[in-house]
Amino acid sequence: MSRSTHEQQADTLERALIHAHRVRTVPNFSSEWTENVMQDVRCQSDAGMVSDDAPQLVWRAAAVVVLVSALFVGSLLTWMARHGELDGSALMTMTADDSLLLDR
Amino acid sequence: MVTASGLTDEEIIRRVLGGEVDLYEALIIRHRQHVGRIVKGHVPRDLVEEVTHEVFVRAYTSLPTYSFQRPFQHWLSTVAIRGCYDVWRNAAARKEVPFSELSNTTDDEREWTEQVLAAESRERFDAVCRQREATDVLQRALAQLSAENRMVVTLVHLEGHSVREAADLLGWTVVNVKVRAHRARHQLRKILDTIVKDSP
Repeated sequence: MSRSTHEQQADTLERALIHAHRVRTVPNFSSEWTENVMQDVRCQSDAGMVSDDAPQLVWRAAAVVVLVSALFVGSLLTWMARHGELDGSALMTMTADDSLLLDR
Repeated sequence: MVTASGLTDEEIIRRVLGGEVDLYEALIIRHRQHVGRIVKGHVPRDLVEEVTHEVFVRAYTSLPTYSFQRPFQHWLSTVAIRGCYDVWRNAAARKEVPFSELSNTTDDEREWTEQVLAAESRERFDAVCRQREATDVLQRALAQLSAENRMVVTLVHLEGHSVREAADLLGWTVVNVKVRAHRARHQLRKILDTIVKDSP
């Protein structure tokens, strides 16, 4: 059997499967099935309606906080580099001095 | 008793969110055929009721995130598609296929393939395509794809959605879906080649 015949047969099979997929029958759902779904929905309601997206929102908020923090630290380091006379240790010393003044 | 007749989907949703939970039943009745049809396209028939059930419960818990800016049925379709994707993703995570899809091809399926390849008229071809074995052969072929490729090939190739529509339904980028659609089609084609070679 030649390769092209195989390809033609695979084409036919592919068309058949696409057709089979598209003509599939629509399922019928009974009123009992609907009532079962509603029972679960009421259970969820009793437990408090919590969105599935809640954990995702927490992660997004955390990502924003990390991004803002990184931008702040980056800006601070850039500012310090531009003002060479004031290095990190000097900044720490100034902060310590300020707290000593406040104590007095 | 609260009745939902005459209310739009959006009005019902507002009232459900306001505490009238029983009104949600009206949304289920209105949209169960639509959701069932989507689900049936992605999971084997013995799982359709169960997955559709889960989709409606998930839609209820996600209802506060519904923006009212697009039709409810469209939003519900995305919930259904993502619910189906989760079925395959969870099965892959458990390293199992939930059905006997990876077992050997049955004699009935081999016979079906032979009938399709031998169909001489359009009517005969259509009749063979409506047989139960058609779905079995398709499910067995799809079971060999990853969860992601399976979803994309079903939406784009089998159902005829555009890449953009599929990307919207799955919540993926257009580029991702485009690349996967090409790759998945190629994989499916290789699987079909094998089935043809194995047929009598």
